[in-house]
Amino acid sequence: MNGDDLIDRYGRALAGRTGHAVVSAQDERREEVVLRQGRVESTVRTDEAGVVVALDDTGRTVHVATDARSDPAAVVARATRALQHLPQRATEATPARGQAPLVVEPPQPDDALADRTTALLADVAPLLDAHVELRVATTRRRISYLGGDRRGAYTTTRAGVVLRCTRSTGAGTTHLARSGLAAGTWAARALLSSRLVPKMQDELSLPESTADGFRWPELVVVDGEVAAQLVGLLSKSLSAESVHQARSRLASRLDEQVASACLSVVDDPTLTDGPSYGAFDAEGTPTRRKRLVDGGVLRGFLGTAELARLVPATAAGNAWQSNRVSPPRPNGSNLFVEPGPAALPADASTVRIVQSHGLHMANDITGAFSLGATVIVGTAGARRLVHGVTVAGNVLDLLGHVHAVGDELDWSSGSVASYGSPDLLVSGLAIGA
Amino acid sequence: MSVATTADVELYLPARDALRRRYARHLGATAFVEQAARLAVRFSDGHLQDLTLSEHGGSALRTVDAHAASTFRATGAAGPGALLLAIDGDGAPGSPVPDAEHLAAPEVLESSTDALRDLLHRVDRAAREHDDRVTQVLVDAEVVDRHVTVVTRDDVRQERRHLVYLTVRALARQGQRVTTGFMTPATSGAMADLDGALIGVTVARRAVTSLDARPAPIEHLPVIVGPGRGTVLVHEACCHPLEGDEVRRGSTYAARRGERIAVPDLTIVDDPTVPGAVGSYGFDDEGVTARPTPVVEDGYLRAFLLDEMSGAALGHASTGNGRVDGFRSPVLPRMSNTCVAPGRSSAAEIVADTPRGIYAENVGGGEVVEATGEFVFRVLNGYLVEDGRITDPIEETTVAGRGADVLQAIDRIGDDVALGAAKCGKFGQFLPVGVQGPTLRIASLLVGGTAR
Repeated sequence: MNGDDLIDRYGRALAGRTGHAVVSAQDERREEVVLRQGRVESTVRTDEAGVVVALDDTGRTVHVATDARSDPAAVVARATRALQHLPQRATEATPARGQAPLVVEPPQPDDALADRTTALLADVAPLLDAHVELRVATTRRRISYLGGDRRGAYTTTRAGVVLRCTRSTGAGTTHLARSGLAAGTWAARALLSSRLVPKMQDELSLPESTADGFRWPELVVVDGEVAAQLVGLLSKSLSAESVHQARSRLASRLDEQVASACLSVVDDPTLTDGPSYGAFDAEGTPTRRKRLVDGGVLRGFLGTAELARLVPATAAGNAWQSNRVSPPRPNGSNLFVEPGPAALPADASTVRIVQSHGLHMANDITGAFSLGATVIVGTAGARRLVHGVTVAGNVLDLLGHVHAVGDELDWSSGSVASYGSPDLLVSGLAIGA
Repeated sequence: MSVATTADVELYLPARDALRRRYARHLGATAFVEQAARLAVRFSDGHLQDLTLSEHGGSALRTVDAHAASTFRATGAAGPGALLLAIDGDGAPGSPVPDAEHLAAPEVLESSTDALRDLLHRVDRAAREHDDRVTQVLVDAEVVDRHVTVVTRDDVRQERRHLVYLTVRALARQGQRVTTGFMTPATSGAMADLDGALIGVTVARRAVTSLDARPAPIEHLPVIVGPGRGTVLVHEACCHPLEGDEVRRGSTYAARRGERIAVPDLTIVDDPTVPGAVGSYGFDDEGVTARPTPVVEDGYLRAFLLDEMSGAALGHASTGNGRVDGFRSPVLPRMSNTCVAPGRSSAAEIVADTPRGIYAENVGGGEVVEATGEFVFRVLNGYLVEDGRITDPIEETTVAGRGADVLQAIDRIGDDVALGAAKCGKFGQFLPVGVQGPTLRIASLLVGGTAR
């Protein structure tokens, strides 16, 4: 049973019910291939259809997520019973949300990952001096929505690429990883061949050393892949939910200069070549591009329909589910630092942070982070890799210490959103080795 | 703790026979069927904000051909009929059929809602009463009930697995400074095992103490990690590279089985049979009976943590460590509960014997590069140790090092074993894992603070 059929069945079960009700269905296909040393090690394919019913009544919200086999009437009854467990926060029934018409996009043609393994093997062939592991995973979702008499549907595909290389020499073992996101299988191949493999080739060619005696400069370059992860850390402070719960340090700084003038942060679910495209969000609000930080000035927050009423400068349209069985929360989609007009100069700094570990452990309330890193030190012709470095700072403070931005986006995967950034030239980081 | 059942094992015997017939020449063939129900709530501002009930079922078939290439197919169709279709068809479990195979409705979880709400109110009340600088208590809570069936060419096994997992954060505010306290109490037993008042006081104390924290140093120092959740250090630094897939990739311990890799007093056991621990199960997700696996014994590397596939590649039997985070995911060799055996020192003696260092009372997660053993590890609540005494709190920081060095640098082992819980991510699969161990001192790690 596909998503449209599920929507029809649940629409009938909800007919005549008072209060606000939304049905969202997903048809999902996930594929993954693992290639190792020139051969296919494993292939994975998962097909699943599911549905989420959301009831919203007198300020209370309940979600029931289930699969295609459930009886719609029983699911609606369960959701109605569950509402009674929540405190009533309004005296009247929640009105229906969203009036704007939704699109019903035609399904996209299939682009099966399993058909591309030969090409992927050719893409990583230049690296085979090292032990090479390539993981490519694509998740293709057909989202169908019903809220009142409004229906919509679209398809979105996100491809993740992880390239890991290990090189053993008499001097020891070097391990490097590169990763990125793209909007489909073809885009993933382009990312791999034009960006990840050349970077990996360059880094594998560098000698290794310790940082003994090296004097860390004030200005350092944060590679786009690492900077994109820092955007993920920043995203929690840009959530209207965090503002409403008084746990965002940006809560009281609307229209203030919170970042360097060269820095703008944009969320754009409509970016069709971005990894997290969405025509409308999980509450049925049509999406649009938003400049949250514009020239360093804080202009808005990521919101849901309810938070748009509660938090200033918050528009609906950013309610996203982290997975099929999670309720929608305010989050980014394609959330990125806007690229500048030109690449950073090659001599911008003698230190480039190219790999990080442990950023997922950072404090998304205070913004504090301290991570392990691999860096390239030195200038052209005398560059070397240094592992085992620590880099510490606070992402909210770092916003004000961005001196220049590069011109090409790298993407990093969050549980919900895709985070993007070009290379950043920054100061104020504490580096130890 | 997992509860074994045999309710409908017989329904799956035809699937077992079909696997045996269809994949007789394959290196491996395993089917995994899951029916799960989950209650998730989010608590803030003193009450439940929203509530999600979910139920899902599905099945997966994994085969490994004679060339060791693995194929995995999964769909949201569960039950013996769907599985038979998969085995006799193209590998994809058949279309969902709304019949008696459907999962049981999650009434058991609906009935848990009131108990969970009461628990979270106790947490909130205790935290706020502990100190009026606590301004917010945030809890993400989940109750999960999974019914798992594993069909191999030899057997059918079934059990029910239960999990209650809270992620609790308290915010404290003093002037412009905001700090957090963090805790992940969890159990595979009854919800009543969790003490709401104790949880609330603990997170509040951690948040409030951090208001006075000073920047952590940037230098190599002795690091003392507290018991229980502190064992995450061993999980990250030492045990990930012992997982079979990483050993196959040439991890830092790949060729060292039988060698002494750690200090003589150190014994590490992966034990999926610890009562109440969140990494416990009766059999793994390939149907192998759970049992303790001593990985490091008196300093010697004794075993790797293996699933069927990595075990076959390395020439050993599975150790019962094949795990998945749901039917959608292929099996990986994973830790269950990482247990460090107690030593002879009291925690007080270890601190008193440390002229200068840091004490990591509460830790977050970590990350390791298995090929090199380089790891980082988050210290959420730490203190300076000066002249054998715990002194000032320090801001959140990270410690870094190499796992192989850590195993040789654990120079004091406490006698105060405690149990903790965490969630561990690997290739996008997040699983509950237990950690059980005493206070440990590592002679030197790089502390990545901000004090210049």
